[in-house]
Amino acid sequence: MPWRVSCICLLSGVIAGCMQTRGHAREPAVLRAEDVASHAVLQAALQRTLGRPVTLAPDALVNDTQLVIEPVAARVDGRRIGGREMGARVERFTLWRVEDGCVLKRESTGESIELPDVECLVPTKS
Amino acid sequence: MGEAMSGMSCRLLATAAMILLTACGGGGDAGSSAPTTPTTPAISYTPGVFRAASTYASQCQAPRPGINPETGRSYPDRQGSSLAEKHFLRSWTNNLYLWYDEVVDRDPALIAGVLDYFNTQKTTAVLLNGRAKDEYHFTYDTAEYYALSQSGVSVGYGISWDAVRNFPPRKLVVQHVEAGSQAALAGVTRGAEVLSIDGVDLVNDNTQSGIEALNRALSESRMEVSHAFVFADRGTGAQRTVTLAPAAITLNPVPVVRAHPTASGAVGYLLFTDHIATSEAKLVDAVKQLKAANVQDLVLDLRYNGGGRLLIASQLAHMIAGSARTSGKTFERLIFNSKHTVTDPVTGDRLEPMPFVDQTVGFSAMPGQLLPTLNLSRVYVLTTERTCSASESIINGLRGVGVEVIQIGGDTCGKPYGFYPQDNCGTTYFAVQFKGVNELGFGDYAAGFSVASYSGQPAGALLRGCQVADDYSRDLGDPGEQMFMQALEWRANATCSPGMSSADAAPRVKPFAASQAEGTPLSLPTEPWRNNRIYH
Repeated sequence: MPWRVSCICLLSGVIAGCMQTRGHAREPAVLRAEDVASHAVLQAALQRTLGRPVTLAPDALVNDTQLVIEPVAARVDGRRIGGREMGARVERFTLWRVEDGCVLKRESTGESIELPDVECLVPTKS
Repeated sequence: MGEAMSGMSCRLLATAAMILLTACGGGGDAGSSAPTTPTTPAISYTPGVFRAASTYASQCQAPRPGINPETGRSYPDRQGSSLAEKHFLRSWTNNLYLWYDEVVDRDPALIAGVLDYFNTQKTTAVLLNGRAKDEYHFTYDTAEYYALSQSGVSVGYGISWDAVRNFPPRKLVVQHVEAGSQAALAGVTRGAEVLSIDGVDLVNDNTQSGIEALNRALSESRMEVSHAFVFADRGTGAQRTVTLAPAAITLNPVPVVRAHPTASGAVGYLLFTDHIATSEAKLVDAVKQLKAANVQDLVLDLRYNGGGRLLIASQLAHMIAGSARTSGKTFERLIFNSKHTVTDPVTGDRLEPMPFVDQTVGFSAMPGQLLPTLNLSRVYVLTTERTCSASESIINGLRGVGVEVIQIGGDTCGKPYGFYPQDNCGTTYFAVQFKGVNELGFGDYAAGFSVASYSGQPAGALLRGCQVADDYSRDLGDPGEQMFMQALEWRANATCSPGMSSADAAPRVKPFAASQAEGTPLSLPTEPWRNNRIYH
């Protein structure tokens, strides 16, 4: 039963995210450097979404609007155990500024994840 | 990009939502965490008779509670025994291990530990060069194996090391420093040597306490703990004291790309260190840059590249060789054991060769974009024994379609093998399950690709080129660095410089471990910043 409840909650979140972004201005965005609070919100959102701890660099989504998550390569003595990986999954996320808020989009599913109390910046085009 | 969250995406989301709903409706049973009554039948051993591994799967001496983050469902574990776990390994090995017919069938009841039993489930054959035929039999904690990170990010100092001499007087050299790391900002460069850490003499200290202190510092993973390193700078030998604390460092897998001008046209140099997801976009950008510079040849530096995603290896090979040479050709075909010649025994897919991939697949670049190509008939590859697996696939794949590969450096590691990791009861097992072969059907490079011949060496593993040691006196990508310089020398004159051996020269020399009699070795992981384990 808890499995169904969490599914419905997730579904509600997906639809809410979808409705909220429709019709509003949205642009790819980054986080401000050394914004520890926003980084913490991002980390928690990723862990919630992916269901396990995720190691991030302090500058995640600071210099790039895209974030790529993949399994840590298993190593022995510093060397890859594998080295010929066939199907290890990759999750790509893109950060968007929507109105005054921030939304993280999971590219594999289209899911939108709101990042409350996070300040998003639209990078200046060079 | 700006339309990425358009109505179409919403329709896709709605579809995904329907799928979710369906999953919710039908997933109750699978997701139930109700305890399962043990139904383990009596387990018996009959020599030469192997029941399906699924008969014994997930019958654990210590079942895991809770939800498996990999599947979102409860762990399938139920109460079993170590005997059941060993029988699982016996049957799994017999079905999937590449050399299953070389494994001695042992009664699981006669070997106490599960991991001890796993270690018996491999071939004990030895290669012509004295190396074990199977050096790739490992286990890993499953929770640790499924950990995630931002691509290329790990906790460490941002330094990779080379223990040139692991016994007193030791020599520990900085191989590479990640840009932007604390070490880089403090001025530590490639070629610097470590003299001491936290006051312990790294060169000479041979006490147990000293070695333990050094190992602790080199493998430190606690971000709040710092250590004082004394380095001797490259060239000058000037001493530099730097306090370093581990941090989450982002690896740049393509850190150096440049076009080197020569009288006969520009030569591209591309340093590629890891087949991680972010390398896809960076390799595309690198090849575009080299193409714009109209490079006539390419020096591909794989000396520290231990492999990774095979698709990325295929993409890079395509970008080097171009469509005319690779279209319709096999980059790598997987060969499983003789029981599985038609379908992949793990995925159930029909065994089809992997082609040279000619477009982005979405690891880090937008999917579906055609890859840029250099259309080269020859490539210079810089190698060491750390050049491994998917990196060797690039060499083998290109040779399979007639691209000449000139090898500059040391023998590669010799790993034409791969595996699908298998979890059972919280341990993930790695056992060789397939071999990769190229368009010509060649994949016998278990002793590595080499420019020096030896008795019994398969012809396909012998390359033209020069044996050259890694040169820490120069930065990577510096045309004065020995390996890069030899590539340029070969390009100009098709010979190695005096003092460098070529394929026609003496028998090859393989590095062997130093003698234990010389003192107590310092156990230095090659990349402690990417590896929290230390071995004594």
